[in-house]
Amino acid sequence: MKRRDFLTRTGGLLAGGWAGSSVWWPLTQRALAGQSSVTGNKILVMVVLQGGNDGLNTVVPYNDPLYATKRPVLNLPTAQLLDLDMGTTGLHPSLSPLLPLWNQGRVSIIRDVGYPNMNLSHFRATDIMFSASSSQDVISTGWMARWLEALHPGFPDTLPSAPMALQQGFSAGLVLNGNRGTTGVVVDNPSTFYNLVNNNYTGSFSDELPQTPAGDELNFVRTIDEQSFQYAGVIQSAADLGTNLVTYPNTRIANQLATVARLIDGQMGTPVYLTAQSGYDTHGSQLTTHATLLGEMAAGVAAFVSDLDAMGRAEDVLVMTVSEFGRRPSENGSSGTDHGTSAPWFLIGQGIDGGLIGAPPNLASLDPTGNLYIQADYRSVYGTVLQGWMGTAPSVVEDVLFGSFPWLPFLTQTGVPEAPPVSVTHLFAPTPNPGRGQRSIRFQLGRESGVSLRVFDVSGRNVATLKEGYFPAGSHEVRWNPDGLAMGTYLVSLDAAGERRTTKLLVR
Amino acid sequence: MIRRYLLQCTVLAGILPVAFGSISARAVEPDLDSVPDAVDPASAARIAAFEELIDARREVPPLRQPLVRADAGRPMDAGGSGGGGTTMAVGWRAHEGQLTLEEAAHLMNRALVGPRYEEFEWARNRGLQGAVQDLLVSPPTPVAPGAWATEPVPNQTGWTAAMKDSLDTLYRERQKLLRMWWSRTIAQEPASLRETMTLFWHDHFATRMAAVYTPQSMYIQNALLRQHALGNFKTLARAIGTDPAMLVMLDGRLNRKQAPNENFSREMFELFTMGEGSGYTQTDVTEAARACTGWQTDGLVSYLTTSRHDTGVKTIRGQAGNWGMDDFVRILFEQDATAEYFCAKLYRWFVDDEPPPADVTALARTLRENNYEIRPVLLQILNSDHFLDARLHGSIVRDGADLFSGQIRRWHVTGFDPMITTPLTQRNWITNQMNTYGHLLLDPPDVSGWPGHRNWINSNSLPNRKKYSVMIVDGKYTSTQSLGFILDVDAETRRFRDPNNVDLLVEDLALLCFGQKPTELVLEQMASELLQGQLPENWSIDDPDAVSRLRDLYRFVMRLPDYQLK
Repeated sequence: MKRRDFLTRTGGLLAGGWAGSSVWWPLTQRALAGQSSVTGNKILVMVVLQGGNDGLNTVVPYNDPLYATKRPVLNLPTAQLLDLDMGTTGLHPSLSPLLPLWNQGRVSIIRDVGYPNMNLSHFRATDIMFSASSSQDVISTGWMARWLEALHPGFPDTLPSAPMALQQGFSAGLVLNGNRGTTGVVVDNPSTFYNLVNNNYTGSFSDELPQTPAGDELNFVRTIDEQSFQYAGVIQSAADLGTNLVTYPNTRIANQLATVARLIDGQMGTPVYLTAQSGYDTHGSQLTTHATLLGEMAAGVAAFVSDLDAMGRAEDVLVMTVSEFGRRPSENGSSGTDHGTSAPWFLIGQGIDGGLIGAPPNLASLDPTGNLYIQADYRSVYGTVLQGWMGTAPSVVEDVLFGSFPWLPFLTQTGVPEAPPVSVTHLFAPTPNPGRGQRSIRFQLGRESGVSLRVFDVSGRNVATLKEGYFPAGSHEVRWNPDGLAMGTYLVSLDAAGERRTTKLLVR
Repeated sequence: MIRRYLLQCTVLAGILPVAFGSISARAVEPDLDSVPDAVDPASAARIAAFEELIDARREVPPLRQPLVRADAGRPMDAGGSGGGGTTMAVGWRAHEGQLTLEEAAHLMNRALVGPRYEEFEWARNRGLQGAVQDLLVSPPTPVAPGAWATEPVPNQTGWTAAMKDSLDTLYRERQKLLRMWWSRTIAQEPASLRETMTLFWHDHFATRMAAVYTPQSMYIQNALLRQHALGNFKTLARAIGTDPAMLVMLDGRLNRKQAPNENFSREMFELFTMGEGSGYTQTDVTEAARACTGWQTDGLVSYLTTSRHDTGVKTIRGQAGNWGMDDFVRILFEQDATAEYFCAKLYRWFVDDEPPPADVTALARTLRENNYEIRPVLLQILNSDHFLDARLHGSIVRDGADLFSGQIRRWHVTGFDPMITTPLTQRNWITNQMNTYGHLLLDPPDVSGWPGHRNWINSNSLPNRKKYSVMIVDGKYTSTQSLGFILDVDAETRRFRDPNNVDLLVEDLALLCFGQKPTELVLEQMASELLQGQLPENWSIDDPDAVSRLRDLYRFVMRLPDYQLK
């Protein structure tokens, strides 16, 4: 099992990332040469609205008389709406935190996003949307995972230096399931993550596992174990380095976005973040529930964007809302709406060419189930993001999305990564640890610097000096056998670039 | 069978010198002629007591024997080279002959939440057929969490805001109590499949307390699931159709002829019976919604309000008539897809995440031929060679309950009662586990239940699973807060075959914790964790520092990736 070897392979950590350069377009060699990240500095933050967001009451076609006819109880009075174009369309009043961004041209609303023959099951529809498949195809990998795997051909034998994707809270799902493994980490609290992982890590295992269902499962758990261990330090370093510069509302979605902003500020180098908000399945009591949810989402996103503004990172981040489907135009008689088809998606950020894309929903021409016909395929949104924002080669985008989909004009320009991100000084925990014999101790430098790598015992005595000297930016490995030391706990200490990083070493 | 098992140990001992170095010097020297065909006296007494308990409540209703295909080949023989191998049909040939201790460990780990070492020995001695039959017996119904569990829901008309607030506070506390009560009930369950199946049904007819709100309704539904846990799928599905909690969860109570609401009828097709993509249409969903109109609830019981019920003709799956809830359920259970969908789910729960379609079809046939009785299908699965296949030992990721309640049960922990509110330590310990593992009982993420299997494990849940599990070894919630109970590592280890033999000790601990024997490297690391540089021949459980060594070992085991599997 090659996967087992990645922790001990010499210097392979970053090389695997560079091997992904063939899928980049139109990056220059210079952009690829110096840094560990393969994604440039563009970041995508997905906000998943779980349960099926009612598009018609989110972006309201108020001058269409059919709107009030189909929604005798649930229609929102025109006077309360936030008018977008002086004539046809208004936002739900709870979305007012987004209005300043709209006025700055940083919000694009794509109308009636969906796919032909939309599925009205939450679960199947979510799977379709996360796998980027057609209504009739069942695909067991996520579109994001396929894209990340294309960028990292060495995964999972070689892990990129920062997590490829980070998901907040407990919601691991199809979108990050790749052909070769899980392409992201789920982190609840980045500040305690390092201790949580390190205090409970038993070391990596080099033994061959049988090719059986049981062997596969153990391999899966071991891989997650090692990935968490591998990334714990990177995530904590970024969380320590990063700071939120604005106050967020205390809601789940805002807390998730605050964490994402902090990690972005901490230069983590992760290109994809996933956040989620549940509760949009409004079969009943829709007016109050929907207003609360949209309000929390809008306030959270608005705080996030002003945080990015304050950090000077607004140009690097794109926010995209996704929901598995919209809701039926006609309300259901229990103050709610049943499952529908297409709905508007929001794209928010400095790189967005703001405005409405598409016509108001056509309420006069509905499908046989009384639902809307789509205007834009959701894979067009993904494709535009991957190619235009992330700078992925068209052929790779086609592979990821199983086809070519028309561009949508929501970006100010095609996003070509400008400068590689600054990576951080980091000291990885030794491997194996605990263990016997030779240890591999790796560290990473964000810039070239004088380095002192030393080992101390618990009383602070310097028991070994492993490296002293000047090292270039990048990843370095030192091999060392501590077996001559007395049993116990030691601290490995790295001084570099004006910073100190330490990690525990257990000697048996 | 013990003889056979020891033979395996000999083989193991033969391999060990390489991996274990000096440890193997003390590996078993089996003298086959002198090995008794019975277990040691203490163990035999435990088993006898256990069997008495089983006998006292053995009242299995007569069932038709499950169909077993006579022509079924030996499980997975043909698939040996293909890696994985579970995609081809393997058949359900009944297992003949005795059980090894490892097979018994596998059976009990899949059948129970937190099985104990002496239960492995019991199952091995009882034999597969007998053990499974006993496991299918329902134990006495657990006592309700309090008289409040069935107390009428007050009509709040004319109440002041303060009165409403105080009821709200009370109900929210009871919601927590109910959740703790269930975690305790699971931990206290005798050796029976009932609580395992109650968890299965909760996952199947997934209902969220966050949506239902009224704790009484959630208790009543939980009791209903337990009552039918080993009963009849069709009967239970009909009862769920008018279950008070479900009427709230999926808006059935709002569904009336003047304004049909299809939330329940859709999930009934999609998640509870036929399964998504099995041929029903949007028209079936809307027509069935009309059949379900008019049902309302006071929180404890449900009733049909005729003025809200649609008495017109509805056409469901091609059958036209003035259908109501009974007819809707009847029609659903006339569809072959229902048994197929259900049996695939049952297979994933008990056997493996990747059910071979032909084997599911065989189970579905059994289910239909027995009019949707559950026991014959469980018998067919658990009694088979396929179920016992060693390649599937450890192929299922443990759910959260397996850890937070299972550990309590497995280790005979006394002093566990998370319903106690002073202090709140135990409740916090359990609740934090439910939250960080993503297995908050009575609040599944949505109506499809928990996605389960690999979805249980991610970079956040995995280290939390280790962190909270390990607390039980030291009996501490924080460095200063006691949990109020502790894992007695000495007593637990003394249950094993020979607690002074390091090889056997780590192997038995592995069987107990992983439901299978792990790789040699894992066994070696376990031994080295126990010995900490000492020679195996110097290990004695009677040493003064043995308990501290054992604690290190138990902590280590709970942090191993293997601990997450069963």
